[in-house]
Amino acid sequence: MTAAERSAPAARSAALEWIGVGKRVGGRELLRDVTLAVPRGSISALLGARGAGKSLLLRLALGLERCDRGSVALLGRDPAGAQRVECARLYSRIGVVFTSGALFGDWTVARNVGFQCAQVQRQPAAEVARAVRESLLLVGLKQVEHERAGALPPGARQRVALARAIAHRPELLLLDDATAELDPIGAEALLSLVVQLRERLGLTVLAATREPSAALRIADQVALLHDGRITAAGSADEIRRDPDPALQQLLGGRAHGPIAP
Amino acid sequence: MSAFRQGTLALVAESGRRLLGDSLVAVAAASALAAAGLALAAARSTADLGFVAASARLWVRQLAPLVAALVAAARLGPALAGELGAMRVGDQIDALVTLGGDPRRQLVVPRVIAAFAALPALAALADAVGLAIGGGIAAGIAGAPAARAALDGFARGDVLSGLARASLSGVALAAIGCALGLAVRGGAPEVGRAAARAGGASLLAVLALQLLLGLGAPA
Repeated sequence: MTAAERSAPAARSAALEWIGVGKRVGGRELLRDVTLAVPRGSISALLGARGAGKSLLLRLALGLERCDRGSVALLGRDPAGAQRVECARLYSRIGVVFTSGALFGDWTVARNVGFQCAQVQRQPAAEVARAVRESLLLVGLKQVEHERAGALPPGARQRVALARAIAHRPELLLLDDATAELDPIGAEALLSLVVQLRERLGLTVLAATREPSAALRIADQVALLHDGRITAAGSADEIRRDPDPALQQLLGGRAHGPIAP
Repeated sequence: MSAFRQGTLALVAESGRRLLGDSLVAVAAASALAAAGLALAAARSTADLGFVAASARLWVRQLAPLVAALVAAARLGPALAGELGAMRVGDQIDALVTLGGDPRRQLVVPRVIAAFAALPALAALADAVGLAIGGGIAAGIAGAPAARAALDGFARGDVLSGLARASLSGVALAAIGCALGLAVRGGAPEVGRAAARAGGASLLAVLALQLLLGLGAPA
């Protein structure tokens, strides 16, 4: 069975799919034959150590990089091969939260959160203001619209980044190690918000993370990316029982094992 | 006004304010020094007031915009390369793209417009400071007729020509800084390298532009 045939049933219900993806960066083969699907309506976690290639996989999905081999289907389309207008349309159906939040620090919170509505969809100012207010309320922030985004504490910054990602009501939310720079309380709060938002907005969520506890707690399905491949995948319970040495090393937080510290 | 226009105008204003704030004192000081040197040479070397008038014309047409552009080259190009490079490293550019934005339209164009508008303001400052200092020195050495010759030595068209040169320099400087900033790949050291490259490239661009626009031609 070919990769395409194997993925055919998944493709019908997948919000995001990588099929046989390979990618070399700087002469190193970082991804080899990665095939993975994110079912619609699910919270999926892409688990992997630092440098495993999680962000690269997301960048390929978003069309920010091109695959050397294989293909990507983001809501049924490969953004790398799409025209700018089509790409913008596709991006209007997704939201992304980056590791550092990637907010524009000199801008106000409102300008950051309302960016897509104002600058891309060109909605009237009143509608943009309403979308900003509603999104900030959804992430538990009040009366911060006029504050400079860069002046907020890290936890609030990530919430603002989350508000920006959902302001245009996307179908798919991608989190690229979004809790990596937060303290445990901030990380827990953000993850709880993501779970709530999935329910309230009917989102599909993919969280790339190096935190096994976070992945196992919130995700319906977890996949481990190790050595450029998906080496384990399944529900949280299946993952806990999986004997994959890299997975067990990551779950146990051990220094010795196939993952180099 | 739509939120889109508000956002774009805010970016233009912000970039322009930053550029002017950074460069006003430096342009004033550089203009004072350069004009003083020119006026001393012009007033001492000859009793011909025509030479004083030609110096004043040379100042507003070519030297004042050059002073403004050189000061801006030292600050604007590296600042923009550093700013956009940091945005690249900090994922803001990618965030903007995945929000459906266009970095060229939303980040580069407002900065180019700001530089297009701000450089003539700097050149006008250089004009004013240079004429005041230079005219004062010429009057001190050669008397009031020298000052009058300096002020009568140029026409409005000369001033406008100088301001237009400054605008073109602003566009070139902003374009260089933004292009090198957006091209950053990697981490913080790459941002530093891009800023340094932008400084060198900006200086060369200003000089090349002045040559192209006829710096060598007699005023």
